[in-house]
Amino acid sequence: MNESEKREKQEFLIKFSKSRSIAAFRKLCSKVLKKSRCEFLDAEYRPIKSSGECNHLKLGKNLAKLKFSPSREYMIFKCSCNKICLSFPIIQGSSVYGHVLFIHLDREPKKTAIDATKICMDLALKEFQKEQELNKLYETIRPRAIALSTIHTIHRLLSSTLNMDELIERIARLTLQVMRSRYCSIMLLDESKKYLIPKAVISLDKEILKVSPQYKKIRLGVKLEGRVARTCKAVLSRNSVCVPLVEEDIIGVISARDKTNDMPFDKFELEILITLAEQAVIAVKNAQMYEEQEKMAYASIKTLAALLDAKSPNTFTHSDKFVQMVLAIAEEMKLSREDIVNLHYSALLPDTGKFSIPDEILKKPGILSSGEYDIIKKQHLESLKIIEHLEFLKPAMPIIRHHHEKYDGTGYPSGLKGSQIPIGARVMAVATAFEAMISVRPYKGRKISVSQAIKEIEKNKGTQFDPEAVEAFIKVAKKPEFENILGASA
Amino acid sequence: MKNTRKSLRDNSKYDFQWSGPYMKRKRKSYAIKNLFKNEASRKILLFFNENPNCIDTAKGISLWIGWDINIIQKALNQLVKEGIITSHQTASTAAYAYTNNKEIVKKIEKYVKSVL
Repeated sequence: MNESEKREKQEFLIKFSKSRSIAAFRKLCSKVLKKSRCEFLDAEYRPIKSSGECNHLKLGKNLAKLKFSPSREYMIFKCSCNKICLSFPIIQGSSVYGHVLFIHLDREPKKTAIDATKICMDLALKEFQKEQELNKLYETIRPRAIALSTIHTIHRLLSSTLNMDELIERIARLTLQVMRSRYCSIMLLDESKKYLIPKAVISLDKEILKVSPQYKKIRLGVKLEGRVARTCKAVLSRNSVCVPLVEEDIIGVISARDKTNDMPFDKFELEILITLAEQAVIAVKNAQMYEEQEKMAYASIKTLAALLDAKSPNTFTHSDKFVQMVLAIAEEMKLSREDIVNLHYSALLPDTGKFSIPDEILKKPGILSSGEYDIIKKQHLESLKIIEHLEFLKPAMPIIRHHHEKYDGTGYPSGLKGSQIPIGARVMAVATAFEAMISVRPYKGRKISVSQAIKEIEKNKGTQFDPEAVEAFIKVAKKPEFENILGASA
Repeated sequence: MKNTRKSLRDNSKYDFQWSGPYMKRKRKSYAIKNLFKNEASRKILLFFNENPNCIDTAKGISLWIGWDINIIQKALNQLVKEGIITSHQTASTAAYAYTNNKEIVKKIEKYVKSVL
């Protein structure tokens, strides 16, 4: 038997002698074999370390001299104190791991008591083996299951956004968290595919997380990140770990440095970062595709707006300052990103509904007759059919359709009032009225000053306009940037 | 310093560990053992001390710990307020992770060793 085997058996015995199953076994045996003491000896009859000083060391040596074979199920003998003792070998597979001794029995045990003790011993051994297996599973499977659950949670966190900036920052924060590192950076390849551009750099310094987008770009092949990007191979070193972001072709790298507990990074952490990078690539690709789709949608709307504008300038579209004003009010009202995007689309094509309204009505100065007003209502809905086939404009349609509604229900086309009017439409109504008041239109004689227009808007708060939208508009109007908005090119 | 902390908190959806009252109470010899008085918080801290890399939802953590999700959620919220646990919030998911603050982690580790 070599040293490692000896050590292994010794460890097994120590654990076994301390296990819960042996505690139960001792209790049971103290009833079956009255007034006995239970001791453990190793395969060579030496007391095991955990059992402390054994008074029967001499007895152990005597036992060794007896040399009873492992096949013998038990042995009854008298120790040096001339008292009865009972011994069982602890057998695992084909080898003897040690012996269990019952010392100083008050009388020679009966065969039934010995059999019962033997059965208990076997049960305790089986129970201990199960316990060992469970512990092994706990030590190996549980950390991996927790890691898997972590990756699943990260996937959920990453797939919940399509905004690239938000996504990249989130990946960096999660990497910092999972890797327990003090520094993390995410770099994406530029269009020339020669440089890595830092998109998120986070360092945990003096208990403050800093996100610095102003880091220098890195040439491929230079520094750790550049080398990883060039070779497409993950690098693990004591203080840093860097993994490429690969989807068919390399799109960037993600790196973590300096663990918070000053320990080196290990292979398990590299594996986790690789998995995280795989999740990140999918999320980044989705966000890129979404961005492209948004750009295409925006370009289509701009093209449509330009076509309409070419037919009749400033009739179907509004100025840039109108769009900026609408977005500023929406931001002030803290509308969701989705609402803001839809509002942006609608602000580019606000008056498509006028498309089939006859020019003589559209450009008529003064008050419209009820007949003309009916034509406007009818044609407004008809005209909107032009853009209803554009799928990406569907969420914006209610805003375009209802931005002529009034808060008190006296507007058109549906006479909606209050919260029945979509929030975007209520915002647009304020901006539309303001822009109309401060601009010159062929059908109205004069324009009024900005301050007068603001007063007019405020005066109609709660009747024509949503009070919340008016409040937000006034807040925007008081900001210094409002001057820039008004100065935007028409 | 106060303004910096406020602005960081306002500009982010994340709760940072330095902004929790733990840091404020630190000078007043705030003892880690107070956190261990609540049984659910104790379980959570032991779990994160054993698995510091873990990021999981309240449901996941309650499964690992084997406790009722409502109790765990309540304790997690409290620990987030204390700055011991970091929360990663999205519209549909809230995930929780251990603080990155070396000092707090060391104190908890030391306390766990002394108790267990």
